[in-house]
Amino acid sequence: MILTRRTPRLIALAALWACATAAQAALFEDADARRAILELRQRVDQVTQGSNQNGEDTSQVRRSLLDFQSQMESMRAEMNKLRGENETLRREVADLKRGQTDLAKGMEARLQQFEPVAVTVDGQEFKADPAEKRDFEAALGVFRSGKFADAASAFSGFVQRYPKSGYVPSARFWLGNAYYATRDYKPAISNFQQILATAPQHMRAPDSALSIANCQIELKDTKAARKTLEDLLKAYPESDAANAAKERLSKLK
Amino acid sequence: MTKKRFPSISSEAAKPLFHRRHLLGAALAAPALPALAQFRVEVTGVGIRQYPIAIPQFRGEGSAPQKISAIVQADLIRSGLFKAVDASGEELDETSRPDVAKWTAKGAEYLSVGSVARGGNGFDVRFRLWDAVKGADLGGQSYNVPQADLRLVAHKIADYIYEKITGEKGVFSTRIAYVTKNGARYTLWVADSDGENAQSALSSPEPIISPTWSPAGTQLAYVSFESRKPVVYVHEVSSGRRRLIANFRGSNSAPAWSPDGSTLAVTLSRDGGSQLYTIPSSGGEPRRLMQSSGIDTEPTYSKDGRYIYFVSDRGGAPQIYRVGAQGGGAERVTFSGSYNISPSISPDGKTLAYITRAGGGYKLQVMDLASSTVTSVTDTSNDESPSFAPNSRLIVYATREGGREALMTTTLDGKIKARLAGQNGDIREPDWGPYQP
Repeated sequence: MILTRRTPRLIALAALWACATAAQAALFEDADARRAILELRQRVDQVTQGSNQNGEDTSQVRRSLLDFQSQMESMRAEMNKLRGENETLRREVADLKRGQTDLAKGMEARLQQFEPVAVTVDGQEFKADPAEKRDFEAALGVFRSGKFADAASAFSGFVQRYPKSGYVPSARFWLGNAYYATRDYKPAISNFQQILATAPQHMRAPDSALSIANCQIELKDTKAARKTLEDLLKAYPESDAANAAKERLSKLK
Repeated sequence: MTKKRFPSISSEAAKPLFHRRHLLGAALAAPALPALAQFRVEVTGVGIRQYPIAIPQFRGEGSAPQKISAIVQADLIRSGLFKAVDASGEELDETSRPDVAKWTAKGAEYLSVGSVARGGNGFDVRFRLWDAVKGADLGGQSYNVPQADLRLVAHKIADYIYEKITGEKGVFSTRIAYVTKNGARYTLWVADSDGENAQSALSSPEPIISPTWSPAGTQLAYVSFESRKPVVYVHEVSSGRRRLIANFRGSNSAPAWSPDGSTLAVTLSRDGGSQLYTIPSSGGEPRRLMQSSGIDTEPTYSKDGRYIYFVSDRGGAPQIYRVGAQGGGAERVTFSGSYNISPSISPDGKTLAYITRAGGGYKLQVMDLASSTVTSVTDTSNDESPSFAPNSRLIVYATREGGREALMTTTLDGKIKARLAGQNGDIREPDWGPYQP
């Protein structure tokens, strides 16, 4: 608004208008005005009270929210810690499992050294301890190398150590042969005889009988030798040894 | 939040969380050295078979701006698998029929000879490799290159020799990206694998972190604070053109390329805490990988693309986990130590390198993934940011050695280390690029 000469007049007009309004207000009853004021004051009080209440409620809510948040945070930390522990434990369990499997496998491998194994010797199938098998094969190795005295002590040691072994008839057969080779005929005969007595169906039995006869011939006991050969022919007529026995018998005559 | 160090929970999202080395760097601001001082090769380590090789000066090399024979020799020595036989005063070229008896008498088993001459668009470089023991010609190569590519040719010759003799592909012609801080200036460099020939890709008064090569070696993804908050960019190295990949509310950090280059895994805090997302490398909407009750960051893809390895404190302390590349349940990978960060998977998928915090120091660890056996391969205690060479034989990492910031390379058994020193000030965040076509 630009100030001009007319400005004072405008101000005067405004004052006049204000006076008129005041006069109009005076037309209200005083009591009405008082009542209206009281009502308004009451309303203001109510609003103030409500607002205070709200304020309290709000800070209450804020407090519990903060509380809630800090609880959440500590629960989250707790949960993470537990998750970490759980991860570590699971890992340890997996490691232990693997360790156990390795251990079991190692044990298995070690036990296998002691567990009986199935062997087939001279047509006989039986179970033998690994040590038993090893000792028998070692003694046979000595025999094959031609060291008959050593073979005799190896096989006689074997028979003493493993009296119940499935190898015993075979061991006695080779023991007998070892003694025969070292011209120790009597113990040779007794070993061959034990085979015939304990395992007459053994594959080596006919050969054992023939060997007994050979020993008896070496001992110049022709009579006993003949008897042995005749018994052989009766007991094992189909065997290869039987053919040899016939030949020996014819020579003995 | 940053790829640098695992962030603490209370830290503000947008604030860069630098390793204490930033503070040290300021306190120890070194006197200005020539910005591109020669990188030196300092090999330590004993008891390994090294091939003795003689590399006499290439004929005509004196008139070329780069000493090819010296670069080839330094490359081979840095691999830890070669030792140099003195060939000073000799000059042979690829057409010479060398007197092998003379070289074997000097102890050389191999001999590399060549020539450099002006020609074509720049220089003709030719060389030939000899087996000095058998007197056998092991072949050679010839190149015609502009002057700027002479170093590259030297690295290619070193690659040829390395492959012929060891049977494995060489990595000398690959590149390494790293960041330096000089005063208040951050610079992202792309350098040859020997650290030489560094070209600035970006310079900024605000931090640049987590550079990482795209699988094709043409682009770098990184985090820049130039807009005062961490934002992920993808930067085309040849043109310098770049595009914004992640600039969401909160922090955007730790980009990692999927092996096919189609996707980036990133850490975003736009939905609250730092969590992993995948985002198309051409830009687009991020997809949340997992919902976790901790901070998840530092993602890195396995080279077959099936897994993402990452760091999380969901178990109460930062450890390395892995999750399927499409999400799902995460599986914890590291169990020794209570603070393990910065995973890097070898390209052959057999080895995980990471940093462990123990006794107040940060140490590079190498884990054989098949057996979970972990070995510590350094005797420094400020190691960070391991990254594998593309042949999986070497790891480059940043550390502090002899009172200086340094980039080092180490063999996986830690026996052979070489220092790539030369940039002054802080030098860190190395990332070894892929084989160059």
